[in-house]
Amino acid sequence: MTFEAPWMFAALGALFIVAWFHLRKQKQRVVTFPTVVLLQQIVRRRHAHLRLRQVLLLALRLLAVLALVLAMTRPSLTVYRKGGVRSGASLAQVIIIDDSASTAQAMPDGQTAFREILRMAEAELRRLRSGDKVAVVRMGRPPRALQEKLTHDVESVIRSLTPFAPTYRANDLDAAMRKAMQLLQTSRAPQKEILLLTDMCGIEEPQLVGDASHIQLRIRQAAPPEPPQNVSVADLRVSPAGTDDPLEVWITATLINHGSAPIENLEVTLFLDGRESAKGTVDIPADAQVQKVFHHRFAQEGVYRGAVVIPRDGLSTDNARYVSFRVQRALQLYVINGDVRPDSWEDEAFYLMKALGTPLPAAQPIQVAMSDVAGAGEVSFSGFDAVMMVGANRPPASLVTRLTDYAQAGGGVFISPSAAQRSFDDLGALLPGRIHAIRKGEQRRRPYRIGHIDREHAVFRHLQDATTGLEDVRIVSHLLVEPNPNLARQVIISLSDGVPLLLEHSLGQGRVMLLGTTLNRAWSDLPIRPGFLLLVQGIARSLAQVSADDPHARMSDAGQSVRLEVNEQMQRLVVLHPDDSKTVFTAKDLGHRSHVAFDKTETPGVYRVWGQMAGQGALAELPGMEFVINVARAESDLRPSELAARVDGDASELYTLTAGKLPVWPWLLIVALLALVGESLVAGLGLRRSHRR
Amino acid sequence: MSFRDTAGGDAFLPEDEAAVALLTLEVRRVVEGFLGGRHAALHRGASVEFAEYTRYFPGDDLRHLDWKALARSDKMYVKAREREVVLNSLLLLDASPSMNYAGSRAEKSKFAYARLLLGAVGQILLRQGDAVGLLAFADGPDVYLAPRQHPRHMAALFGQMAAVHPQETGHTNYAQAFVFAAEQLRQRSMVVVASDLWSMTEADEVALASLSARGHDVVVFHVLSPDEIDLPHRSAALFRDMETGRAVFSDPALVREDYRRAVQGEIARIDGVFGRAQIDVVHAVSNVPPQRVLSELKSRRASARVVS
Repeated sequence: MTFEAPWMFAALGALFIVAWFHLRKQKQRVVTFPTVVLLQQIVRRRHAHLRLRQVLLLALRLLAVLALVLAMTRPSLTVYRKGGVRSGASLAQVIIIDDSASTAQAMPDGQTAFREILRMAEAELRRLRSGDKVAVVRMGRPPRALQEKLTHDVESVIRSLTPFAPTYRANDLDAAMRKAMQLLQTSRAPQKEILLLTDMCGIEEPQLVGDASHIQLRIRQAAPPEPPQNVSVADLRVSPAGTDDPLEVWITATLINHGSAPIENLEVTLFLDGRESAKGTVDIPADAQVQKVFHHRFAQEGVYRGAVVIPRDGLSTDNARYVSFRVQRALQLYVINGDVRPDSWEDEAFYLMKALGTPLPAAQPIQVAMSDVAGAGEVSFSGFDAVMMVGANRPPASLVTRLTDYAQAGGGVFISPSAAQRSFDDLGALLPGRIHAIRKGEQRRRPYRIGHIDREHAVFRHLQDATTGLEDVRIVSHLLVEPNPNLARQVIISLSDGVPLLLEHSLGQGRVMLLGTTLNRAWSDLPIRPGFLLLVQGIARSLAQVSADDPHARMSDAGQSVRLEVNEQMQRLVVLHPDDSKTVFTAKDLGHRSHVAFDKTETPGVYRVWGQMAGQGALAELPGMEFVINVARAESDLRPSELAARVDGDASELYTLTAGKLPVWPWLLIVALLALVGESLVAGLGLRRSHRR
Repeated sequence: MSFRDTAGGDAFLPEDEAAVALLTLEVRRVVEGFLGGRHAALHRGASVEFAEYTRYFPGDDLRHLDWKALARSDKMYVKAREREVVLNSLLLLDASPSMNYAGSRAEKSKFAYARLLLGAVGQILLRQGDAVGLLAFADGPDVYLAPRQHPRHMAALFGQMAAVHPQETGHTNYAQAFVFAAEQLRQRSMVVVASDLWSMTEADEVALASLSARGHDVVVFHVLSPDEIDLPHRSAALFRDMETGRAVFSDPALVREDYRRAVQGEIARIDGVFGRAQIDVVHAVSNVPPQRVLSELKSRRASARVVS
């Protein structure tokens, strides 16, 4: 149902006015009377009848207003009738061709449904008379018109259909209908028609938008009498195997049997970087899904491309699915214990090691080396992804210098204070600013609380629910950093009064994070809070610059536009398609943009990206930008939609449907009138009876 | 309202002489209208002692016509008889809150109408030489004026009537008033009650019947507003009782028929109950001229005498 004046729904407020007036009228008048006892007896005896009358009156009044308001919204129904009748007048016709992935399904004669759609389109086009105009719109997302405007040249339209084959795209009927309407509205032909040729898979009721009163909609179905047997590779995921070896992964394929018969011994093949890597079989019950898991260990870290393929069946476009993923070695961290304590519960490194040593599912493993300050003097930090110095208590100047150099060269350093430390000047450039003082709470009963967390920071993006429980942390003492203009931008966590607790600042090409409280329980109860583990691991991964991007997030459906982030230094960008064709973005295309849209995503597979930076002579591969295109999952279900059941068949086993607009508002006006008449009858019933007497 | 016994006469000082004058005037009109018709008196003395001849006026009882004198002189004379005893009469005026109701089609409230009826009856009785008293009541006896015979007593009677106003709230206690009246009336008397009789209990009815049983001649003016009879209100409203304060929401259009039946049933019940107790009940609708009510009373009493 469509509404030509939906803003009139605002008038539904009148319902409340009617109800209020009805109820108020009942209670407003008070009459003093001597024989209320008699009235009371009568009212008590006829209570049910009187109440029913009141309810009936209110219902009829509300119905009258409701019907009137609905009538004012000018609603109309899309109605379908069998067949289409055309007069001798000229016709403007738009043929919408369903070229979505599902039209690759096999017909009984071995052809595809799309081939049948093209045959029907050609037959319809040849039936047009001179004076008729026509255009063709392809329905796969995003819909595209093959002609810019309606044309008399039917032969050229037929020729334009020749090169096409079923795509891997999902259908977008609404957008295709809008495009068809736009084309028809430029025509003054007395008859206008939209002809939809489709396999009816995933097709909802088409909506005629705008002024569609003179536009006829016909739907013809091209599909086999029974959907062919089809199994799809619906999903493909890669995750760490959860062992100590970070190069071991699980590759999980989800397979769906869309048919009504079970499938046995279906062969499933895993391809890695184009080579067959493993093979297995699965049994899938009818209308069910199973998962096939492959275990694989890679020889080295790097970016890999995988695919899972099953044998060709009733729909060939969904028999393969692709993925691109990165295999990383374990994260290498070095922990410096600046304030070694004999009791582990006082030792800050104890809590840190516990948190870092806990493996997390689907996360890169962490390997930690630890020493005291003296031991750290002999270690080269260059082999580590990040260095964490806890309980920093007057470290030697040489260690501070080496940490500073490490950070300036691009390393990540974390510092937390020791409860015994009184001066922090020794840390020099490692600090985001001068430490003004140590603020101590008046008493433990009134601790400081965390007030704000920058949840968008990389510390928290790595792990889900990484901020859980941090608001409950009780802090009794913490460092006060002297304010400076850059301080606000450096704060990751601050207390409820705005004082920074976790800060990050750049140092050369690297970064340094400072936690304002101790990692043991001397200054806070942070180490025993649920969020501590995730916070510490988030800090480590952030400093090690582990990519927080989910490789599966860079997966899209065929036909969808992909956003490619670029920067000012990028001079050239090349996208290599799965079929080895290329799309090149020149400096002119990239100029001063933060991103470009790539919409040539016709072919499923991995799209690799190369870029050339200013001052660099050659293209360099950008693994972080590559993306994967797959067939939309909805296209695999070959069962016709409910709309198909409402279409009558004819002798050629095709279906024809004609749609039109049926205005509903006159009926609503009649309902309103009847409600008013009924209200008058009910209201006047008692009066007439008394007048008769 | 506290009880006031004004039997001594000195206690009465009419505060609103205009009201008294108005009442007197209205009563006179009613009485003259009534006497100007065919009716002569509400009752006749019971003595058989001849007193004098008087000229016959239309409406006089033909049984008292002196046929011999008519044959002799061809003039019509009536033999008047001297009374042996003076008849005491007590007028009982209902001053309960419900009597304050006028309705949309009557000029007067039920109370004003009842007062007019009783005033007229009182004047007629005084003219006949009877002693007339007054008892106004609501939740008990309120104002009492002992019966007296003197013509000047009429002013005191009307003064008291004009001074009485219906109560604002409270129940009507009929029984107390009737018992009080019974205590005051030592000899056979005439008791005239003007009331709407609403909320009358069985005990109240027994108390009134006992007055009749003691030999008193009891007459009841059942005063009703026309609106009370047919409930002419058009729109739904919250109806609040004038005595109990209870309220009920009702749409008169829907209950009117049932209401009329209920009122007629109540009237029939009153007729039945009081008829069995030998009490004359005259239903007086407040938009009917009082003369017609008095005429109905007169004719009813005349027919009752014929029957007896």
